[in-house]
Amino acid sequence: MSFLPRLAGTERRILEALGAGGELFGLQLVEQSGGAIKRGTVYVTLGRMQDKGYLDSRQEEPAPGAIGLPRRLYRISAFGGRVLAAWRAADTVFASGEPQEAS
Amino acid sequence: MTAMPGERMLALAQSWFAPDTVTRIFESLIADYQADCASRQGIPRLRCTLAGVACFAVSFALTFGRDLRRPLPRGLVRRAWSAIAAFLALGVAAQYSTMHEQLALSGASVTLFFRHFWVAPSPWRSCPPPYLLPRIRGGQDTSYDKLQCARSRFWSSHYWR
Repeated sequence: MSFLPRLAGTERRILEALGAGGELFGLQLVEQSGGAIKRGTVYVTLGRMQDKGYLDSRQEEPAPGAIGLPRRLYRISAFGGRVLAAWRAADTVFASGEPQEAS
Repeated sequence: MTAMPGERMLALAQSWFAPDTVTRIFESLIADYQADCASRQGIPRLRCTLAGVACFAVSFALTFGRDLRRPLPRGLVRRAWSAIAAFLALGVAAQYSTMHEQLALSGASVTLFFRHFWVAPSPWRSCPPPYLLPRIRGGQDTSYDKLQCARSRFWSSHYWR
C-alpha cells in the first residue's frame, strides 16, 4: 500500500512555483510558468489542491479606494511541502539508474 | 455608475454553483481578471476581456459536472430524452427501410421481422427466421447453430402464442 499522495503534473508545477516564490496570485502562476500552466484550468486546479490540503490561501488586503473583488494569494501548506519533498525524493531515487535485481 | 468587468460572470457563477465553490474558484478568477484588465484601454483591454471570458468559460465547464448548486432544469432533461428518442426512432426507421428492401418484407412478414429482430429475447436474435432459411441455405451460410436455432424456434413458437 502506497502512502505517497498523488500529484498531477500541473499540481507539481504549482507547488514548485509556490515553493520558490512564496505567495502568488493565480495569474502570476500562469505568467511565471511560461505557458506550462494554463489560465483556463489554473483556478480549478488551485481549488482542488486546497481541498487536498496542499495549499493555503488568503484574500489580499484591499488598498484604500480600490474597487473590484479582492485578489486571492496562494501559498504552499506544510502538508503540500511534505508532498513535494516526497516526490522530489522519489524522483531522485528513480533517476539514479536502472532497476537493480534482487540478490 | 459603471459596472466593474466580470460582475455578470460572478452573478452567473453564483446562480449555478455553491457559495464555497464561488469563493474558492470564481471570485479568485474574476478578481485577477479585474486587476489585469482595469488599467488597460482599447485593443489590449478587449484582448484581456476575451482572455478572461475564455478562462471563465473553461473553468465553468470544468466545475459544471462536479459541483452544481441546483439540479438540471426539468425542461432540459425532457428535451434531452426527446432527442434520444428521436435519434433511436430514426435509427430504427433507417434500419427497417434497409432490411425491408433486402428481405422484401411485406404484410405478415413485417410482423415476423419485428419478432425476430426487435422483440425476441437476445439469444434468439442470432437465428435466421424460418422464411429466410431456404435463401441462406442457397447461399451456403452456415454461420448459425442449427440445433440452437431449432430449439429457440420451438420455444419462441410457444412463447409468442
